[in-house]
Amino acid sequence: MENYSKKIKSILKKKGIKIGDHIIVKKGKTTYDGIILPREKVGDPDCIVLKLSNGYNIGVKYTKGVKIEKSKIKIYREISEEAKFELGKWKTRLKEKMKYDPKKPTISILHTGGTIASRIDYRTGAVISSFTPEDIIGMFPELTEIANIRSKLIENMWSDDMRFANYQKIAKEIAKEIKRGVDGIIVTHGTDTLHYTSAALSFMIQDSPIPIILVGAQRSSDRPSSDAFLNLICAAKFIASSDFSGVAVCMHESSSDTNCLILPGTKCRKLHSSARYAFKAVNSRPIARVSEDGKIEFLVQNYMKKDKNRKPKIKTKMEEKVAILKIYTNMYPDIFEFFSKARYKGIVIEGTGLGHTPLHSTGKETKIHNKIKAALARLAKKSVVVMTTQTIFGRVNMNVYNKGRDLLELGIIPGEDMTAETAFVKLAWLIGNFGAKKARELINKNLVGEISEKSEVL
Amino acid sequence: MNYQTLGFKCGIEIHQRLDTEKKLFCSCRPKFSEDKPTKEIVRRLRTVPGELGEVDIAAFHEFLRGRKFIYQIFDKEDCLVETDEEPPHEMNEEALVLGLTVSKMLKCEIPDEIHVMRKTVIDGSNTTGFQRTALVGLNGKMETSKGVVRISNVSVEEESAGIVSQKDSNIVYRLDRLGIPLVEIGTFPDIRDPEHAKEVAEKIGMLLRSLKVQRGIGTIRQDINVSIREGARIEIKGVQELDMIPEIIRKEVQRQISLIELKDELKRKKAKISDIYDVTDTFKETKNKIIKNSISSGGKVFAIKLEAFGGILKKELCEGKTLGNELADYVRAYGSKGMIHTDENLEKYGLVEEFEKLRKEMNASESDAIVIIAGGKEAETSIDAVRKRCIKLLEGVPEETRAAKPDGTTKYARPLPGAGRMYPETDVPPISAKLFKKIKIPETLEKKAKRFLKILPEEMVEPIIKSEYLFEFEKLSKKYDPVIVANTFISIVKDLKREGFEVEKLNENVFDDIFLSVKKGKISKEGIPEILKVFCRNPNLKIDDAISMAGLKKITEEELEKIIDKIFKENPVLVRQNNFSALMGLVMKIVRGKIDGKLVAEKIKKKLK
Repeated sequence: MENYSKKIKSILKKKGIKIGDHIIVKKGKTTYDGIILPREKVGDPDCIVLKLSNGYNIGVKYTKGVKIEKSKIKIYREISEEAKFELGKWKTRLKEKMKYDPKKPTISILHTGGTIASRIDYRTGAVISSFTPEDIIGMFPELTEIANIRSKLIENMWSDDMRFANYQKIAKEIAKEIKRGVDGIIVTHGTDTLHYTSAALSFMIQDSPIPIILVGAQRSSDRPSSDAFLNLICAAKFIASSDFSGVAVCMHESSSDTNCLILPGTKCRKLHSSARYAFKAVNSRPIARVSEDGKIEFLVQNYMKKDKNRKPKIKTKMEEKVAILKIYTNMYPDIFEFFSKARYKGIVIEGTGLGHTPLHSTGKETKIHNKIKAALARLAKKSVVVMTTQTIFGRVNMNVYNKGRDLLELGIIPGEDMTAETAFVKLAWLIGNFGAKKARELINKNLVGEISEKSEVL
Repeated sequence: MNYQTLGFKCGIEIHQRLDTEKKLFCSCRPKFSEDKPTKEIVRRLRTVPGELGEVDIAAFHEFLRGRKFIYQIFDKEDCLVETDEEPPHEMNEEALVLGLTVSKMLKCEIPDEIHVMRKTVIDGSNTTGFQRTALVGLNGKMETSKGVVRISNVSVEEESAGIVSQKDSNIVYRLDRLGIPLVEIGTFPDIRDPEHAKEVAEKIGMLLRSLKVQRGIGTIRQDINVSIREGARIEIKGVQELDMIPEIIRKEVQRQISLIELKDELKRKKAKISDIYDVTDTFKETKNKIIKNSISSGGKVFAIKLEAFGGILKKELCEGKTLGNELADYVRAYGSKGMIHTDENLEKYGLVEEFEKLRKEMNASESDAIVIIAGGKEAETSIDAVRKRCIKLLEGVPEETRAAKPDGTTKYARPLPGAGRMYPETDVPPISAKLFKKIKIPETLEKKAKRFLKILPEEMVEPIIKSEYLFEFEKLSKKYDPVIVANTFISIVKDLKREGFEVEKLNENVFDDIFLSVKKGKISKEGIPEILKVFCRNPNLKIDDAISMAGLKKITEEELEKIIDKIFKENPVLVRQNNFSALMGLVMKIVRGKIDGKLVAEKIKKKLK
């Protein structure tokens, strides 16, 4: 009821009307008859949202003289006998499917929220968490043909709200599941920052004996056209029938519901705001292609193999004071000074081109760049400063232009072919676990596949 | 037939495509593409629990068919909104205003706040699996010759994608049509009889044509809801021709009457429907090619026994449709090609012996019927559908959605969807109708017709009202002679079209230029067909060039007199006979379109005297 105006709230309270009740609204000569629904934040809070018997919603504005009454009749047709029968049959079949089968591998699905496994209860407006194994199987019954499914809700949040503490929580839950001896883990996750989490988990859980696949969706599961189905099914099939282990992402390859790509956890990124094919491998090949019918085609050869006897190395500490700074034109030195003053321990610069910033004065218009240079020098002395590129694709190389060489002289470390997001997560993880000195040493060394020496011709 | 005593109930739904600049939720061109598709994508759709927590029967049903949808994409007509790769943009205001105008014309109440909904449509005709629709008017009414018919709803919604082909479980759709704005008008079940339904549809159609709507085949469609007492609500989809409406309704009423009578007969005879039998073994040695092939490719033959159904499958439910035909529609809807039953001529199939054997095995007497279906997995679903349908014969008429066929009969399409198939479109914020308080109701076509009577001869009024050039006529008749303008649109353009000229290429400016030239005396009105032909070939010509290309430069009176003199000299016999019409014909052959025919006649008559 929260988005209704005070006036409407008090009337509803007085009449004992709750969201989902069948009510009658009399306005002038007209009588509206319907179920009262929760309001969205947008629109007019004085409008009562009604679901009419024909299924449509409309808003009826409350003004003087409007009468609201609770109705005694239930307007919805009861679910038909036939539908009940079909539903019952379906549920029984599901139960049979969910019986443990020792011949099948076991997959744990850990939910963190986001678009993929959530749906809205339109009667109350609340987000229903469909996370019990029954809910998940109900939504994706094919999963049971692939594996025995365990399911656990560990967070219920949009990925934009993720913090390092959440990464640690997810990593700990994964560690528990590994200990339990499952054959693979699927982490469902919002897509906006999914590539940050996949990078974080890649550093936190090294030498994983089993695959850990992050899966998101660009269309929510309560839509008939949701991409969640294929993404989840392909992830499960990949876990069940390949020898891959380690952290990866499974999302649509194209606009078609035909293939998914398995992308390296530290070398991928969301590159489209809304399309199914938003996730791409960056400076790397995808690991594998999984087709709708379960065919797996590896696109790389040197991946870590599954070995359930291997002990994972788990280190989950993170330094909080790390930031990304994007370079743009017409910058002022105070931006750079801020990070020094606020005692940030690590900065990832998302530079231009091969790894550049405004730095040189070429006339009176650019005189201020001398101050930027001084600010950058101070920053690089106090904190670990790593250079990446905002071109997203390609490697940083600070030896080509004077500009780059000057930045190197200031002590800025080239981040090779890491994405800014991966460099950021890695820097926080390195400082957190080993301190700044060691971080300086390791930031441009490959640890878990985040840096490739060779820039592949793709 | 007395429809009142039958408890006849009937309402119609009209869908009309609007003629807007853009689509309903994006900026794409709302037209059919003339180009080839540039891309194709492959999608699947799944059933999801409805807004009220119940699994939608209709959605579930379609889901069971396990289909693959192939969508053709067109450059100008499609963007990421049509491919469901981007959320919808704001609702097209032009379409919304048109919808609200229809609401006002039908005396509807307009909601204070308009909410866009998603209506579950899982047959693949929408890439999203739902159709976006918004209620913009309710509780309206209209006058008809048989009393008031109430309007239940006026909605603005998206057009679906057009089907290109279907092979097995793969369906190809083209996405150019998807998202074109539609207005849907639904009536309450106030229609008195089949003819009345046609009148209501016609009246609503006329009313719509006074607005900016698309014209031509397929731009308007009718759905009909029919029931009688003890019958059930049947929704008949996709009626394109108004004249078919009464016939379709009469046949549906007859079908319901027959089904009710059949129910009583079957009860009296204590009819029973058996379980499903696997009778593949009985047909192992069959010579029937279809069954033989299907068994050898791993298929099975399924049978059900219908006790006391002997002879009943042959019975006609309505003209052109037996019960056997009706059951076969279900078989096809569930993916099998057909069924064979004992009320058919089994010799035709070469299956007499097999069925005799089957009768013995299934313990079926002559008064029983047997139905078989052969094939793979789909045969099992299909025989199950037939069995369920037969059980329902004992209960009467089942509610369902049916599709209209060209002969006026209908066939089963899918179960009737419930209210649970609507849920809110959370990507589009609600719209306050306050913004649209000032909407003006346009003049109705009836009023227009009355006004036109003052400027046009009576016989021209109806054709111009019904003409797709109504808007152009309104504009141009203010500047030019209305009779010439009307005649051009209702007769000349029509003739040219019949002769194969591409009259679609002629735009309003072309007509304006031509009428102006007639008014200024540059060309005569008889020259209009010739000059239009020139413009059809090259719509970008300048008017003066077109005139000279058509050889229509006007001649002077002196030049005319010279031509007349010449003709008179060459044809002394005709002159002597005082044969005006022959002489007129000869002169007109030369000067047609270059000078007013009236003047020619005058001059010839004068000279003959």
